[in-house]
Amino acid sequence: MSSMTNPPTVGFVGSRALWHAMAELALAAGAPVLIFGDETPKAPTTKAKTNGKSPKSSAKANAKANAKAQATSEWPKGVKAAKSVKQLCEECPVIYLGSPTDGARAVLQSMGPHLRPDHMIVHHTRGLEDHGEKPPFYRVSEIVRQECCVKKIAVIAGAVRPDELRQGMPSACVIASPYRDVVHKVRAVFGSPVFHIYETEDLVGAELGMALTPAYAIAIGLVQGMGFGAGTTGFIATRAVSEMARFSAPMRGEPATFAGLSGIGELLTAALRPDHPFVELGRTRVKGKDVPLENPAPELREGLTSLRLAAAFARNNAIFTPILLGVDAVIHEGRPIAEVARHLLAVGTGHEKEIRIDEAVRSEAWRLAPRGGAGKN
Amino acid sequence: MREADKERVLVEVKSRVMDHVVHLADKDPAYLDNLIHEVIYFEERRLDTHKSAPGVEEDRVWLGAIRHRFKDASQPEKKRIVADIIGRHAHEVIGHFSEPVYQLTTSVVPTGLGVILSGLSPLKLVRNFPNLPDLPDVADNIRIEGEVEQLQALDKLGTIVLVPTHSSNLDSLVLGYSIFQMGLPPYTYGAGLNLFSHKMLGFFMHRLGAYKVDRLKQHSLYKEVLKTYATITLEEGYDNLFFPGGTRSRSGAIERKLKMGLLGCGLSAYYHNLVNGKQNPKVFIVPATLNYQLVLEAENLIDDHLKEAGKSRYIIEDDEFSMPTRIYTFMRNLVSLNAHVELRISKALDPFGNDVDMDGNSRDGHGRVIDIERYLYQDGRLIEDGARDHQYTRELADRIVEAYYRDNVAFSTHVVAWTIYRMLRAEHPKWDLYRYLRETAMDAAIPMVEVYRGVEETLYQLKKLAEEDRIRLSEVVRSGDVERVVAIALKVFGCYHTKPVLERQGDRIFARDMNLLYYYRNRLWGYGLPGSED
Repeated sequence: MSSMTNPPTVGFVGSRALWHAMAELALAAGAPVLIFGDETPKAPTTKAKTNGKSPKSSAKANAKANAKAQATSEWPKGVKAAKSVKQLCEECPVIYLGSPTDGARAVLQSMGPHLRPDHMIVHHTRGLEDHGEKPPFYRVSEIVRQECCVKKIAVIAGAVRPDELRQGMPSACVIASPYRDVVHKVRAVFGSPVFHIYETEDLVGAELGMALTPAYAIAIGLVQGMGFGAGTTGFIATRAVSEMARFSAPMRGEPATFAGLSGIGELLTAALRPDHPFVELGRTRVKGKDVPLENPAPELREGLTSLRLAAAFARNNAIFTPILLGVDAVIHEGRPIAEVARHLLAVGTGHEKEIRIDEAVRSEAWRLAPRGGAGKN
Repeated sequence: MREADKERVLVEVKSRVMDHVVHLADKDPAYLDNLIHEVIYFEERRLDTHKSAPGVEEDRVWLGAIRHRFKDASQPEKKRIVADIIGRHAHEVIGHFSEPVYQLTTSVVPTGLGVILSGLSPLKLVRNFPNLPDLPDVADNIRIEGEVEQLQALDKLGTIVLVPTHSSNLDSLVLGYSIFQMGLPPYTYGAGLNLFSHKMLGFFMHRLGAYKVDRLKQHSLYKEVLKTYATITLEEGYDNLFFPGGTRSRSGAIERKLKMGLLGCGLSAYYHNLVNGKQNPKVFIVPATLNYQLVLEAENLIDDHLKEAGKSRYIIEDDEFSMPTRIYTFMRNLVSLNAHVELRISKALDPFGNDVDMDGNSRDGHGRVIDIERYLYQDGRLIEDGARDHQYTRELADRIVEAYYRDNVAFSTHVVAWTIYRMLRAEHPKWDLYRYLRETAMDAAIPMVEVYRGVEETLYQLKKLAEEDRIRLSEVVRSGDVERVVAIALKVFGCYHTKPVLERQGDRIFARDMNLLYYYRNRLWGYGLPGSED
């Protein structure tokens, strides 16, 4: 709980279940809570498409969205809806961003003129933005950098279940940011004996963990759907950790991050949770049910986009991620599960910690491409 | 450092480093002991391994006295010992800038540079005065491109930290000349002690703003003195020149890992300027690339890189730079081939890595002005926070590396070296790098027709990169004239190095020095061109 006498106002953007639970904790700690809906129009993903301008979203539309967000029953009593994004930015030094990945840019564009260098942005977005060019995707922290002046960015990741947190069950998450003062701010408001907030500097790793775990949760669902046992689930989950470490290495992610809450922690929770949407998707796919790729359910959209983008990146850069590619082949290419499983089992084994990275990837040349979005004047 | 500022700066360096030490000692009672032990350990090691270095005997006596005082010393005495160590290093580091010598030197800079680069001794010059020998016309062969106007404008609005790539010891001379050509005041910079051993060069360097950096001194207190000195010179309004790569690129590639300590001085100076209410508190970081078609010390540098001894040797004392005749040959050949050196000034950044405009305003990705002072706020107050500022500096370093890649100039030598290296490498994809370099025989050759085809392909890739604003191309490379590119590369490669890097015989090109081929090819590494495996 906060030890501050006058805790600053906590601002939430978007209506994530975790935000509802955290809003409750903030209110209990005596901090005022402002919320803001993010139902602004979806932003095109590149500067070329937007011509560098913010999408027009009238104050009326915002007010309507806000009223809707406030009316949503999941928010605890006591939260207030911000009249405008300007008010939110002016009153809240730390802003918790929960917009879906494909809407994050638009929200940040509307916030951009009101954000100051001493603002902090903490997000809980489980996805990669489809950039369509080089580099092939952006993480949310990269979008923040492109769209405003804020540098203190963090992601909340981990195995925390909002419903359990609201019931007071012991929970844990990790705040990843190279700026430690963000971690301190979050802890000061939300940290408690039942909500353990761990920290890491590895923003890249934690963001990638969030984005990639849905793909591996699908793999777990496929395994379970095929009738394999707990041992196979454990096998897939641990190899998934190695794959994520390999995947993140060229982007300077730290392998150890995936052995923590945002990697194996997320996967364990997925495997143990009977209604995890991605595990369920894997299970039903075995039964022959097609995945509605054109118009997936909102809770699946981010994960499926991230799967497609991550698999393309791994393929193009020769990153050894057979499970990721196998899941993508099943979901996006419609390849038969049995065939993919046979292929996966034929993959040779090596040292458990081996990380193979193609030199061209190591050079990070792909990362040095011109900045997309509004990254350049 | 001007005489008028020297004493004040010296006092400030000593007191600021001492404050830092006392602050840490208050938190950890063992800190002073550990610090003094560290100084003694590293200094003893330095004196034992570099017995013939100048001043060793005097240093040994001084160290002996420190050791003696340290025995059974009280806490206040330990503080006095640390203060004395700081004082000694601060005196040693501080530059001896001389206004009259600077005026004299800069007024004859083009000739002066020619004199220095010609390798002539001052004695010989005096003897023959006023008849100067036939000197290479260096001025015509240094081109300054890029954001020169912005640099000139920002010079009036704050303090500049110029952060160029580093390939050769000639860099500081080329930069000294270029800074004068751009009408800017002299830049303060730390130069390795070995550079001062060149008599003529040492004389001018000292008086042109250079201060001595002894890279053999490894203990943290010395580094702290250096950093503090650089920070205070920035606060005093002296523009600085840092080579953030720390040392010359051994491999020939663009630097990717930058030294955070020195780079962070800009941010620290900005913070102190704000606290002290300075009128022009801003510090601008200006990346630049120095682009050579040939590098004077290439043979030694790549040898060092391949021996993986870069770190342990750190200072190469016996390279081409220490041989005046090599410098002369090198410069004369560059001039005769019209193979100019290009200094490219990049767009300025603030200490947080944001773009800066002509008026000195920092801008975000949408071109909005950023009130950068607020990056240093915590709960509405201006605060210095080492960990936070280190992270800001990392962000700055990333932007500098981006600028290096973007403003790297691809010359014919790089294009042809890249192409032939890739073609020869394709014949032995399984060999490791060392085997490939060692076993590719002197008679390894590629028919000209294939070379032309390969170069055409490389030019196509580079053109695409240039269109995306990811690299710069020299005039010849930009022309896309494959035969001309190859002809010029062969000519330049054949004119200076002990062995020609590449040689044409009949309708084939022979690789005569694989290490140098690798060195020149490395300048295009990091762009994801086909053949990036090594």
